[in-house]
Amino acid sequence: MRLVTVVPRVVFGLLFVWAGAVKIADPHAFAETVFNYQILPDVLVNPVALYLPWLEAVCGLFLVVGAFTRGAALVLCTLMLVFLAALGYNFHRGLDVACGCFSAGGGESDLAANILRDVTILLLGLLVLAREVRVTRTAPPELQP
Amino acid sequence: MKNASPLGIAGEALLLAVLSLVLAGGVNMFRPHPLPYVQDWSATIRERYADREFVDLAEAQRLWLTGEALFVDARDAGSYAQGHIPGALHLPFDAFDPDMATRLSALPEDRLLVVYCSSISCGLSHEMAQNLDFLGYDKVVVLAEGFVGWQSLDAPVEQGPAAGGEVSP
Repeated sequence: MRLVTVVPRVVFGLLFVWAGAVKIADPHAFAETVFNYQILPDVLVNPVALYLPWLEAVCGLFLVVGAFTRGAALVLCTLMLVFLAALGYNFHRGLDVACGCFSAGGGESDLAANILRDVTILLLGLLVLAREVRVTRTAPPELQP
Repeated sequence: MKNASPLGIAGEALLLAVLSLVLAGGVNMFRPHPLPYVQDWSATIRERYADREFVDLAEAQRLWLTGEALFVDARDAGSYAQGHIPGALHLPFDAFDPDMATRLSALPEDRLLVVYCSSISCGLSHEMAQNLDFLGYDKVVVLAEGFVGWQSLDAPVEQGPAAGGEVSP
């Protein structure tokens, strides 16, 4: 396994293990963050807040150890797209997520920074996904169970 | 090159999704403070300010119609100008402004003050009310639903910057 394939995969995976772990450590705080995004109906806030961090951490972990990497990378890239859509939507309506206030002016620079950060992460994820798909050979039909 | 698992990419994704679901539910069950699956968030936010007095939208509208309350808009100038409760004073709340207490003291103590910001998840109104409480104001209530709630009433709104500028001592 070449370093140029392993390093991005492990880095990307660790990012999500860490991100997931932080949220798993304090589910109530994360649930309130999800609520403050004002995107999901109230009844979905807690289930999503409960599930998402585990999805992040589990997929991140599998990427780090190098198992089920295609699926893990796919899930995480999809998640990043969803997060970006949520951020973009709130940017568009001027919602300052930290405070939950709608503001015409301030708060937008934070959102812009977050969007930029997440786009970078998504690009890394797409790179990892592409590489994992390429280096994983599907066995010829006669050898499959 | 490595061999693919027999699952295929979609199968792997599904497996991971299910595994995460099981872990999420399972671990939550054993926590000392599990996250409830269903939570009334509006009530949760309200309980945090349990000693704060609230008015609901109906009461706020009544107070507005009779003119017995003074409405105070805690949001920034841009939001205020885009639309506010007619007649509301503009006093943007900034926790980091060293002159905030002085600004707040310009509010009359003998009128009922209804403080609001944008919506139920906005904390500015609660913070302002708390600060007013410290300054000795005892006739302060918060409209938690905020301007978003007011708009749902089909009640009139006013636009443009405050006629006399912001509230100042």
